[in-house]
Amino acid sequence: MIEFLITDVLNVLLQVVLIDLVLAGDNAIVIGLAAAGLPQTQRAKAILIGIVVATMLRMLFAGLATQILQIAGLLLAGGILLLWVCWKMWRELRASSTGPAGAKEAGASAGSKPRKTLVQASWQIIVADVSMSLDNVLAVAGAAREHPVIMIFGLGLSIAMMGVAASFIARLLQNHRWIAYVGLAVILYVAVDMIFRGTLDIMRVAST
Amino acid sequence: MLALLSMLIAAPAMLMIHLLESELVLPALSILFFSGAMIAALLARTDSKNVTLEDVTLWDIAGAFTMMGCAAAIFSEPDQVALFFEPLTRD
Repeated sequence: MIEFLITDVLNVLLQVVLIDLVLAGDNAIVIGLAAAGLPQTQRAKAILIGIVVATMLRMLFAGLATQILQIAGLLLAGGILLLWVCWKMWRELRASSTGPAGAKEAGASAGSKPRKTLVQASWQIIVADVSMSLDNVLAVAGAAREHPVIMIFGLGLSIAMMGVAASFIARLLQNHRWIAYVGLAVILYVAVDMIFRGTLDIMRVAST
Repeated sequence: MLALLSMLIAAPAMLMIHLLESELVLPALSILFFSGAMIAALLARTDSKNVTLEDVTLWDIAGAFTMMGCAAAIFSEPDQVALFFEPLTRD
């Protein structure tokens, strides 16, 4: 009996760890993208804000998972929100690449004007966190439904993972700005996928 | 250093692609890339001025591995990971 329980808990733990690793990826890219345009001193603050907000939203949505599942169109709304964030980031990237010489290194150098402010970056991260956490939390809540301790562990793991990954990505994008377009393409894929699945959900609800 | 890191990632990646079920390849690759990023970051911490190629530092390589890990994670379906564990949980 005890052996069965231990095996069960270990299986769920491994499942939650893997799912959390998989789900932290999109948050890490968005936080990294948004933080990359900031000066060194503000980058850590933006990453911290992104992680704290993502964690709070995941906890909130995990608690309301059953109710959230019943709201039709939420996934579609989340996808559209994320698409808007992609558009804003695209415009910033275009502006920084077509700007005056030396604009690429803005943010890195203390004297020049940064590409964006901490408030702007924080808003982008918060909006993206809202839409992606909606999508992400349901999978974890489903996997760890009978093991709240494991769910909390998974949440902690994804926070640490997001922080480290986002800081690595932000550092990379600061030095090699063109890679931001790759990150943006990945987030665009997430947004389009959410919109597609959200539309299918609405059509299914409408047809019943 | 770059050759060693490439070998550390490429060899297990080939094994994963050949041995694992197709649904599990991307989640496994994402974990592999994250591990590669961790190794590159640890190496970068030991020598922050370590430059492997022109203008490319170990921190950049850590960032690139992280980005690849995130992309592999996003393109994989978390549901597939859950489905893989389902028979084990049911036994």
